[in-house]
Amino acid sequence: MHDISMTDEQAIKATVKTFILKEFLPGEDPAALTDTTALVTTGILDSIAVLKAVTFLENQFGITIEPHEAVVENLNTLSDMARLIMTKKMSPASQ
Amino acid sequence: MKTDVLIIGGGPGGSATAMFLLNEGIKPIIVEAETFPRYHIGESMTGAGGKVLRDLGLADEMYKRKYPTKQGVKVYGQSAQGSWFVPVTGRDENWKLFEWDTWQVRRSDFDKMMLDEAVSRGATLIQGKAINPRRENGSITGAQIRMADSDKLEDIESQVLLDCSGQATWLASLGGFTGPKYLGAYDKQIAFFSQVTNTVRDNGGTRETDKDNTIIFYQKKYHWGWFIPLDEEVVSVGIVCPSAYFLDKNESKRDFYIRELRELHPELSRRIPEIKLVEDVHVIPNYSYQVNGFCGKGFICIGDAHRFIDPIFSFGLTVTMREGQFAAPIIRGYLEGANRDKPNPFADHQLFCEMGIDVLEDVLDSFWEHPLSFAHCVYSRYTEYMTDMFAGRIYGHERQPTPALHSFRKLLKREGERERSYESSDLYSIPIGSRYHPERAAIWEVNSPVETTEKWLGPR
Repeated sequence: MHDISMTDEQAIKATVKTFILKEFLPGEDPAALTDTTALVTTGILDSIAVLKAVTFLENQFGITIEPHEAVVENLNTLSDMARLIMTKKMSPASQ
Repeated sequence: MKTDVLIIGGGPGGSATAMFLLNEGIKPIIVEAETFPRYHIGESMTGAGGKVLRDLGLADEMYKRKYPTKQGVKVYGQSAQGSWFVPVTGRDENWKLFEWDTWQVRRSDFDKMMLDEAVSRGATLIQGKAINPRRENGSITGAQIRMADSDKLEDIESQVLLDCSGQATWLASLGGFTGPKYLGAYDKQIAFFSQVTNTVRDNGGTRETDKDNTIIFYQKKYHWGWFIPLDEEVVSVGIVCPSAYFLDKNESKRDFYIRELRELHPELSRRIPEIKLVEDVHVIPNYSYQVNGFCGKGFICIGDAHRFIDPIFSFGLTVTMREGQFAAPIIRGYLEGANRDKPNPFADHQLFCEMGIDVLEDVLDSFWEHPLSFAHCVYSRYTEYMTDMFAGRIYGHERQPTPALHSFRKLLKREGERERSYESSDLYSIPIGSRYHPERAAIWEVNSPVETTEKWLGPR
């Protein structure tokens, strides 16, 4: 079992944030992308960008995101994504 | 006049079925009201659709006539930057995937080629309009035809009548012969289409950038466009949206169409810098429907004559020609005496076809209801299974339902309690979105506060 802590969650958010800024929002002020910035529902990320992010999350954190998990509720903000990853990493099936 | 098999409708469904019957040693009569060539929509084929033409020995003719060869479908998301591509594939005898191509067809030309071919192989063509089916002892035994040349009525007696009338749904619309005709989930959609020239096509080099591919432009839920090359110059372009959106615009169909070409999607407008139409703007509203009990004593409805869901992934031609291919050996068995005493001699065929199109319906509903999950399946999770679905390999013997489809059914809450039951022949296939369905979803209201079917259904 992984030792899940706040530090992990913060580290996950930082990693995902760096990826999104670099891939989809080059030149954007990093401070403008907060943990709760809605990325999908506001159209900041279109569906293809979201898929690239999903692939990144899978590779980076060694998890498999099932189709029923690839929904807006799990991917809209950095916090949503971090929560999904934490949940997946705690579930033995995804190890 | 007497015949073993009477085919109502000389479109590709009727012609292909006639050719497969001829392969079984059966010479059918085809009744067609219109003089070909005539305009028709439905111009793209999937991989499985192309295979039907190959099975009929028509591949060389298709290449000779220079129908554009389609390598795949490219789908653009809401912005011009993002797209995904699904290549056309086939499966070999070991079910191994291989790269294939299929065709885009100008229907006026293609339909005439198919009908001429069916006639040259031995089918009899009668120009006329089917008026009424003949019925004896609860069985359909032919049809009354108004002959085109003499305007006289003539009875043609048949052992099996095939309704290949397409969206006219001839038999179902008469009432009392088939089961009820239900409106489908997309019955409040409307499609506008025409043909344009002077377009910017992809420049080739890879399968994904082939100049003859189908391109889909997704603007938002239920609002999209198609781009289907018909030859070196001309491209079929369609706009599909909720009818309420069109009415709200208060424009003529032509003005609406032209404005949408400019505004629907940046990639679409880039590809049509100067709008030149070579065809009127055509409109088809409320195209989504389903007929229950589409096979029975003495009759089978084929393809669009019993069901049409949504045009987005070009399944129409494929499904209608495949259903004809599946029906031909069953009809031969029936003519030789099989299942004569059963209340529905073609019940197994009916169920087989229905289950296949139910796969299609779940794929289409998932695309609209869960675009992210759908794209995730295409893009990475179930690429091979999604290739099968896009190719039109949707039937039981084609390893359906696949794990991808189970995922979709889970998302759509169509597993467990809401799973379609195929035991009750009257109820299993009423479309989920039908206004007659007990679980009718309110997804079509303009600006509906209800986002998805599941939310409308609520917890159970």
